[in-house]
Amino acid sequence: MNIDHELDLRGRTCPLPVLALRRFFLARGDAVLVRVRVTDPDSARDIPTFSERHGYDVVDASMQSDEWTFIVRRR
Amino acid sequence: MTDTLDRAPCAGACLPGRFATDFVGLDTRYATRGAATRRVYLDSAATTLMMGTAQAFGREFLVHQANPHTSAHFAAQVASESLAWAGDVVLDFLGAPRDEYVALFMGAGATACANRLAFALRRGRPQRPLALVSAMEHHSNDLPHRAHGEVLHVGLEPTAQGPGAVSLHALETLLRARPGEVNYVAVTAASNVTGLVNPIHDIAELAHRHGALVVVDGAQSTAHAQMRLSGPDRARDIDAYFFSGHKVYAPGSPGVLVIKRALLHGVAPLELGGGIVEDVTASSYRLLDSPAAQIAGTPNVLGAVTLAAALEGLRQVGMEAIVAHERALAQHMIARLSAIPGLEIYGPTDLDAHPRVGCIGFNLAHVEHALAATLLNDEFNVAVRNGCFCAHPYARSLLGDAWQAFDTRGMDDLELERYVAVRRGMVRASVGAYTTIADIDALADGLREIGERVDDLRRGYIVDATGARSRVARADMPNFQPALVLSTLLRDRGVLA
Repeated sequence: MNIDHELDLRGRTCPLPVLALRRFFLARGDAVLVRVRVTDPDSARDIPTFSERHGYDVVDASMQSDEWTFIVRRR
Repeated sequence: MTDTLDRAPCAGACLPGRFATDFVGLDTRYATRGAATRRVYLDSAATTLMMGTAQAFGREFLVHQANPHTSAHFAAQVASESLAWAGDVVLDFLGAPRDEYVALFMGAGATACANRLAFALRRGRPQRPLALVSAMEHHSNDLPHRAHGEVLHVGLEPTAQGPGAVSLHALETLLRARPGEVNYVAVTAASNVTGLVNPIHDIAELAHRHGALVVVDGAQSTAHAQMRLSGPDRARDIDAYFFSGHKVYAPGSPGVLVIKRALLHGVAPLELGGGIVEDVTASSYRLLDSPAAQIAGTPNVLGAVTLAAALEGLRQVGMEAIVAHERALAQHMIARLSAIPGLEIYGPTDLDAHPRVGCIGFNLAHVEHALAATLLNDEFNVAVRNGCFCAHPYARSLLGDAWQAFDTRGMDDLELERYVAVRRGMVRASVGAYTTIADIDALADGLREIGERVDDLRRGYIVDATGARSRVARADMPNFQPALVLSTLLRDRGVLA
């Protein structure tokens, strides 16, 4: 899996991670796959919902010691 | 300016002037912009002003103040009978037949009632471990249910302007998914964030078809909507309903739980103590066989009778007239706020399609909600509230729709932080029977000016936008120092030298 970019949003609280993810996809029209790392549980809950609503797919999600990692793909 | 406002609350649906002005604090004045002006109170969803007649009634009762639970002396009899009268007034006001429902006064508001209700229904119906709680609840009608069993949240009806009322489809889906497991459905009659009204009798009918009960938070509806818990179609009855006295023009009074008597049979009380026992020995006790056994200790009789007097005042004026008045106020508020550039009202605003009580949450673009509320107070003497109003999941869902649709292109991190700070909460303005069209105009005029002059006005404030909540540093408070005021009163009355 070729990750185009990694967004390290650990320590940022809702809704900043979702907004930053949106900003990234809007700014980088060429990016397809992005890895997002968050520590905020609310953001971890919101990222899949946001992706579904706005034309992205969460293709992988994992959690390890209070940190969530999502791989999000533009459709 | 606000001190010249017309107090006649004519909004196309006038209330009797003597009633509309019979509230303590309507003429409270604070200094803003260097002059003392009348405070405009638009925070009734949090707590209402005291109805003057109810306060006077409480003073009359105090002549007979005594602890009930005995008939040995006259005052105790008066206290006992007054408490029973207060319960009857509540039941009649809510259309709850006295032989089927009981009204129990407890705690300081609805929170105590919800906790007791969750406890009682969990123990009374242990075979049904699940509660369905709507996604628009105040924490007081959510967390108690979580504490006493499993909770699933019921989604809201989507509308073109964000989430609407509770979705009957979502509710039915959950009821069908967990057959025989749902103990009760907990729902508010009206949201404390948007004022949206839920179809509680439709919800009851649906819940009952699946053997579930329905419990309703009436904190925002009792004084603002016509409630009738029981009607000709018993399948649509509400099983339990609770509200706070401080939201029905009787601050200082308790919460009230109205519940079908049958649901309390055999359920042990949450708290033990005096006033609820037949007999106690060193090794055992026997409780009274009565719903009154749910409430241990000395009841707040003064609060209960004050609350009942306020409800009786509302009844005599007529809830139909009050509802019409407050609907006109809500309509006017939506119209005025919608015309302010950059102001976003949360939730659907077509009151015919989506009924709301007069409680409106909103944000002003580029103005942090805490700053907007503070400026309304400091500059315009308009009292509103800001934050998420103890309904964080619901407020976040309202705000989240806006966040997710926002075009963040080209924003740097600081701009993103500012955008978020504005929307980590919202401002809420809420009306009462005493609210006037002029009060709403004062709010709208203030907001318009804040929107136009925010860069200038914000210079006097420090807004911390990095935390989960915005904080606004401010200077002045009204010159009310409780210890000083009390000592002056005691001296004036000759109690102290």
